[in-house]
Amino acid sequence: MQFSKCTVCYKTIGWTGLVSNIFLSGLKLFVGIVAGSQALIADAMYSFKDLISSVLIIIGLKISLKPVDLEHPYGHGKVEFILTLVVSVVFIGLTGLILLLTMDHFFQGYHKPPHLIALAVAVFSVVANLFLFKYTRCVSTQINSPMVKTLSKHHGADALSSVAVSAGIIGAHYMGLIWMDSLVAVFETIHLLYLGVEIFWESFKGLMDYSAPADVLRKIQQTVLDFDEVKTVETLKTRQVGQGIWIDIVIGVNPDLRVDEAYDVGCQVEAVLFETIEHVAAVNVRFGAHDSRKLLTQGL
Amino acid sequence: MKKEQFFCESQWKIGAAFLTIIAVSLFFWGVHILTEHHEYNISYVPETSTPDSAKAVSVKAEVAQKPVFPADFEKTIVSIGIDSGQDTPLAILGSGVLVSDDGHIVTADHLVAGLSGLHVLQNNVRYESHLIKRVAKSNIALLKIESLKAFPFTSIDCSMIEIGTPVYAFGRDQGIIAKEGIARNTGVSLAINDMIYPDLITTDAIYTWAQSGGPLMNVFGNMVGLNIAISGPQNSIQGFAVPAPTICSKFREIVHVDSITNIKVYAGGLTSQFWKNTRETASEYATQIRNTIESSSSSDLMVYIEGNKGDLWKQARFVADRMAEIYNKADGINYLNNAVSDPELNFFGYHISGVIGLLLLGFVSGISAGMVTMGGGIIKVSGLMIIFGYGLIIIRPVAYITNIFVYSAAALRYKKDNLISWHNVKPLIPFALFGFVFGYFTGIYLNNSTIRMMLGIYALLIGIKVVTEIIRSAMGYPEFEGISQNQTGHRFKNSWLGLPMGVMSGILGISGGVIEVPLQRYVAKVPLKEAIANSSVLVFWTSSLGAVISMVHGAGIGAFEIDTPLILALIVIPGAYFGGMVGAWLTKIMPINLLKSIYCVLMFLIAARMMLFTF
Repeated sequence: MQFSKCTVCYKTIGWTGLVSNIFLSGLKLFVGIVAGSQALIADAMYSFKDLISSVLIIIGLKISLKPVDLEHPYGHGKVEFILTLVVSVVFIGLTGLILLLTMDHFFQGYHKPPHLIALAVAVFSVVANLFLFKYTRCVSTQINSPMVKTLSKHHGADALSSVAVSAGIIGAHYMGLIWMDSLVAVFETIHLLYLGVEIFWESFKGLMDYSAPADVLRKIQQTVLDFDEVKTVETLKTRQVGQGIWIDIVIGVNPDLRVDEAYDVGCQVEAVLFETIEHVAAVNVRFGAHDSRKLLTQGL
Repeated sequence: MKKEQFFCESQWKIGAAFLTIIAVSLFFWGVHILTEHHEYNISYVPETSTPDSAKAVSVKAEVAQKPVFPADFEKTIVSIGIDSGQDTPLAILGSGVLVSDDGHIVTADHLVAGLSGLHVLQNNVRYESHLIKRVAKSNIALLKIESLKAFPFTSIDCSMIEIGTPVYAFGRDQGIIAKEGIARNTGVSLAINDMIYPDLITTDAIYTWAQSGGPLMNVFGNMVGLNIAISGPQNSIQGFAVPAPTICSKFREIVHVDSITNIKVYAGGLTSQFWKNTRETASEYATQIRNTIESSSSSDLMVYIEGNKGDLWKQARFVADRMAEIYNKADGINYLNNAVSDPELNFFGYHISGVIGLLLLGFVSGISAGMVTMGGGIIKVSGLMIIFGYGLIIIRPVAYITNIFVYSAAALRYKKDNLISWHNVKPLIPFALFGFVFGYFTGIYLNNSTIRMMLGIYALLIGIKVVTEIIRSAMGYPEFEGISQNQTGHRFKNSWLGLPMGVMSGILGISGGVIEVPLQRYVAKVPLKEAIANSSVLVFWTSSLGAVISMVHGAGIGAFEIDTPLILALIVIPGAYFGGMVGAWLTKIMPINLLKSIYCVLMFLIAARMMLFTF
């Protein structure tokens, strides 16, 4: 954050995304229906998806970072997953419905080129999404938030999908390929369905206390073993709660250490893990004496 | 590493305000469409033999009136056929109607689609004709007789016909064919295979195939539609007609349908009609009207003036004044001005969708020119041909005029960067110009399919060239660098290199840079940047000559009015400029090979479309 101004963006990015995407999806849906462009209706779903992302960012940056309280001693991280899960189910349902309608329309064979306003809106959507893309990319690089980074990517992808819609409408309107609009719509809804399932799976993983990625695990192990006093990592469990990673680790320390010395090592490990591993929300370190004979008898 | 610009440092507020304004206006546009919206009945609804009583009752007052057709109107209805040899009779395809004194004929597109060697039989004389413009979506086409004679013609009433109006469907087979009927319905959509023809008139005046392409006329002898005979249930013939407003809006840039004015004078029983082009002066109308009125004994006069916009009002006033002056009994004369209001949004006589399309086409060709510094011309020419259905005779002047603007800007920039070696360019210019003249007049004698094939092959070659470029750069070959010709001496040795470019430019209306750049690079061993700079100078010269020759030639044979290509070019040029800027910007932010791949796909698509499919 080089700029004091960046805090302004940090606070407003969610709301900006929310408002602009409500407007974009509304405009595209409305015009898609008026102009009779299936592809534009499908394209509205892309903006709807960004709308969801923006809502999640607001929640992610506000509610899930609320400090622990008596009723929620482990924080509010899972609110995000629950909301995402619900929204993704609704999203998949809606997209599936649109897919059925577009497929039906496509195979019925009666096509009519959409009104030219659809082209104007699609081109507008390309420009607006590129604009939002530049904005969100700037914010994401400055505040280093993975969620904002995702939103930024989505805006870039939406610009591309609107390019496809424009191509479909141009094809339908100027080149006599009147089925092209419906074809683009079918492809876009299939892609959206895939994205919806992906979102669903992500939130599902979060609720199931899914482990952190393997490379993060390796990094944790490596960091801990760099201590001279730590001989082994007996167990290492992680789970993702909200955007944070919770770490439960049992280390085997040099058996010659006194308890208070071992306790100090544990504290240091905790501090270092907070520093070196990204997105760590909590670390719970226990220690035991490293006993090579015991380990041998256990066959390790 | 490149320093990233912060978003808040850029002028985002202007952009955001701009986007907001556009978004709001788009929304209101949508609301406007929604409120003005009316459903077509998609798919063909067969007419029942008993017409809808509510509609049939409203037969207008004109039904009592005897139809008044001008004396030589039968000569305006022509047969269209294919020449099958010198002494054999014409194989008749259908009918057509003359709509201008220089021999423009409106006919149905399905009659002439994909055919060459079309002949027209007018007043028992056979003429060669060529296709000027097709609008497949509306099933109309415009032909022109290859003759400098003045023909009688039928004027078009550009307003929409009302349901219940009596109509007469004409055609010509061995002789004239006609049947009286009424306009049963309007706004009917007809689905044939994959095509939907919206907004048609249905009528019972059509009973035979030969009426297809002929005019549907009202009682005044004005064309109100173009007949289309369709096979209905039980092998019956169903009559449809393309309404006159469609014909007017699609062809008004070529034929001055707008300015055709009808003045009808009803003087007790005797009716005279004058239908002239506004090129004639109002005083001639006045004389003609005076003659009519003088030859009638009755004082019961009615002057009926109809036409469209503009100086019509002035003429009407003039005629009225003269008549009042002559007869001094203005009380007995009713002036009915039926100036047709144009319901569609128009821009220089082009429907707004056409303008947007042309701008887009210019934009895309500009992007490709700004991106890979070539191939803008082929996109422009094939786009005008495939998408807009223009003939090459009108495409060429448009392309040349656009090229003058685009390439003069480019040449000036190269001059500033000192990349042009005048020493070498000057000897090339006369060869290029000579090649151009040769190419242009050869192109006139090549038929349409040959030219399409040539364009297709050309696009294919460009596509292949770009593929090899991509492969070369992916394999890491170094760019071929020539020797700067500023230092070397042989001045006239390679001057013939201008010739091929001129010929191709003359035949196809493209800039020819794609041919010239490699020739200069590999034959004359000029470095790439200098080759591009030199070519831009050559293109400027050939295009300037091309614009003059093609305009004089085209207007001379009467293929178009001189302002038609000018207006077309005026619409294309801003798009091309903007596209050029965007193209240059794209090359900075996107990997060049990706852009080239997109470009090559486009070229292959054009090639496929040109070589494999007819419309």
